[in-house]
Amino acid sequence: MKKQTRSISILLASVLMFSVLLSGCGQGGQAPASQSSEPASQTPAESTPADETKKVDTSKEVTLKMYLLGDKSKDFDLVYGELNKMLKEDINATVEVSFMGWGDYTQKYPLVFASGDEFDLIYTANWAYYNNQATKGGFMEITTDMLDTYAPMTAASIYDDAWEQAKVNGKVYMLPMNYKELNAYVYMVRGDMMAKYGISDIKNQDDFEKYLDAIAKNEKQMIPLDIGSDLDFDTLLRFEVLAPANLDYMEPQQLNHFFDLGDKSGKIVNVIETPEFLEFVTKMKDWKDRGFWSKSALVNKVSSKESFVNGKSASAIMNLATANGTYSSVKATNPEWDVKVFDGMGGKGIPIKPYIQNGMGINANSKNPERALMFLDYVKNDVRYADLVTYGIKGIHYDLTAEGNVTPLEDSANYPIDGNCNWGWRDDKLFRQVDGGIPNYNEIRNAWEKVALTNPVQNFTFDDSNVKNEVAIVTDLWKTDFKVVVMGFVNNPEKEVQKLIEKYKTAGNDTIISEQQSQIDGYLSGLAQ
Amino acid sequence: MKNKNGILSELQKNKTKFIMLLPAVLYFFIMCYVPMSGIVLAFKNYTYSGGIFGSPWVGFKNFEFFFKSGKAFLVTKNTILYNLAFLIINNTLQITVAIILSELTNKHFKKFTQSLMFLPYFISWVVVGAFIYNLFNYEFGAINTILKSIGWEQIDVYSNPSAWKYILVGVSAWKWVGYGTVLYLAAILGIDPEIYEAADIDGANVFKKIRHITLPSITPTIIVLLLLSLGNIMKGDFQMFYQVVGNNGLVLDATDVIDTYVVRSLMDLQEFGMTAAAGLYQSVLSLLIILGANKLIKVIDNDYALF
Repeated sequence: MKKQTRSISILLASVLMFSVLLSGCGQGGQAPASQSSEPASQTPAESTPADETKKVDTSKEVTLKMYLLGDKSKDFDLVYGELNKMLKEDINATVEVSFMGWGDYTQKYPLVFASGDEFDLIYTANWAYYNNQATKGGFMEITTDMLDTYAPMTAASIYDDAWEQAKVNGKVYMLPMNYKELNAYVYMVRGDMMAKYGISDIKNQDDFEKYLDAIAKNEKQMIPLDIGSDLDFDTLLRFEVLAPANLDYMEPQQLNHFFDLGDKSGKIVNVIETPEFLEFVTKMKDWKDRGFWSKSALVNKVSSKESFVNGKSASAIMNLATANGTYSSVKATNPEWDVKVFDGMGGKGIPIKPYIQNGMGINANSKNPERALMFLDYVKNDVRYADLVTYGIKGIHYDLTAEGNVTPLEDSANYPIDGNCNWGWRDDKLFRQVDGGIPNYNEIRNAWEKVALTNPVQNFTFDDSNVKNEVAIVTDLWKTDFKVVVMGFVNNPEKEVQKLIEKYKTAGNDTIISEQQSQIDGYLSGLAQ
Repeated sequence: MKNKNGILSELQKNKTKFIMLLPAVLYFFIMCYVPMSGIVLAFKNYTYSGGIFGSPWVGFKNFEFFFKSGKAFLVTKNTILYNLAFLIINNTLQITVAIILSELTNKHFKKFTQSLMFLPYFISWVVVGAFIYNLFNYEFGAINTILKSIGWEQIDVYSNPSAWKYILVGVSAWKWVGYGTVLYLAAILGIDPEIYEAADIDGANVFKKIRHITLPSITPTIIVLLLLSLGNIMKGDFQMFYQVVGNNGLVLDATDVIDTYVVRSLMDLQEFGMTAAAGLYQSVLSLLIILGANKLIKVIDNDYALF
């Protein structure tokens, strides 16, 4: 009898638990529905008078749900708590942020759209599903009318190019960053080594060669330049061949096709067939033989930057923004190295990256698109907001110098400067110089800005469906034979380059080029209309 | 009519056995036979909207990249030869070690050796790749540092294709010997000890016992294991080749297998049809090899054949 009651009570308990589970599910399913129906009924009432009077009614408090990419930093909530106080005052809204980590954003990103989640704002970019979701109808169209009404400051300051670039089938679905990002590279070297071997300045490739030579001859425990990872095996090609000829990569990079930045006709250049390429390979063979990089460099997986930071190599090649961050961290850990940064471009071949490299989109399902736009207007254009989201809280994370430069404070690591997915609303006019970064940062950047070019072909996307087989073979060539030749692992440059050209020919590279060229011509004539 | 009756009565007779068989049959049907219909992907231009079955047919176009590249023969040859080398060397070592271990009398030493040899099986290829790099790196590798310190010339493994043949075979043996040994050891322990006792009385020494008792007794196990691994002969151990050799263009002629080639070419394209085509090519060749080997064994001794 006793046993029986016990088993009954267990049964009861499990039934109870099960019902709790079920009801939990039920509530979970209902809650968003009831929440969503509420604002839905109010939105029209809110926006109609706003449109008529051109004065936005913000009497109803809303919470904006925003998705950003990356990992949440330690003091993120502290900073955004501060931001929400200001937002509450200005537009009677607060933001609630969720992060999608770098590890799995590719899975989560399409999912939040597919699931019908009613978030308001999301980070987007040409590399982060912009085209993909825009064509699928995931984003709300942003019109100039909307900008004028809800984001007047942005409407006044947005670059025309940026607005044009954001168009997908003639409609704009994101607010791109208003920030000219230049895709150009610098040398990072050690000042103590330069002083030791009497090299006063690195102005060009020849000076750099002298520096590498001095290290190779005298510092046996160091690799002069640790290139070879898939990330940077071809950066020397950029300095030696591409920049002087004003060339830039046509995406995807693996195809190894280039275009002249100054040539608006969009003609594809096949670099490996030029005499400059042979010259370059000859030089790289010489550099490799002199021990400028490891004999095992072809399987190196560590980037030149990482190797430099760890003290294993004496120089590195990277883009200016990365160099700036690396400079301040190395300065802190190894001040005796006296790190120095030099312009590697020689004043040519500097492309302005597309503005849609960073941007913010509004969800098509958003119930508060006008408040979302107002939020973006503030963070993009109001210096209080921009400083807060980019650098953190003044006095805790950073301080301002008399010239208005940012000095990172001790807690800056808890809210890294320009490292909290604030890129989508970067704006040239509010971006500050960071103290402790590269001293000649402005010098280099200004010199580049003067000569930087933009070319319509930069935004062209290649549809490879007709030449997939050829593309697959060429992709393999880029990772193997091309890499070997570019890094100088050849006995007879002339013969090996000829062999490489042959290999590309057999792979059907010419077919890809003609297909790509005809698509570019179509694209450019479409733009001209 | 008679036949049908036969099946029914067979079912009736062995009802319990068939019910016990059912889960396994269901498992293979659902996990292996149903997904096999995905093979059609190899002949299709996969689109998200069309899915596996709705996408348009493209005939043999997906196979083109593989044969057009001029590498099809090379990578197929490499895959088969490497796998044959692994098969022969690993199995010989495994059998030898299993026999030696079974003859050992010190129980603790036996267990210790066995665990030690099993250990590499648990080490991920990524880690092994790092080992290899740190061993053979030209400037700072362990081997070259030693060579330099005793005044010998450094060796440059990374531009020497033939060295990789030995490294790969060696690494594979290091990784798999412990695992295979356990299988063979189990087979040896299953041999009736009375046979050995009888041999002892007849005055047979250790080597005679191994040759006339142990080896013949484990021959069925050896053949089954060999046939099973023949099924994978067209599949290069991707992780091993990719992690140990890396993307080293200088030695690829000696180290490239089908799987690494396909990954390099298609990783950035995400072309499901073309990867399916490469997979189908491997599977069809594997099937032919298994059928051939089975036939061969049947000719030699019908009892040992798999089917």
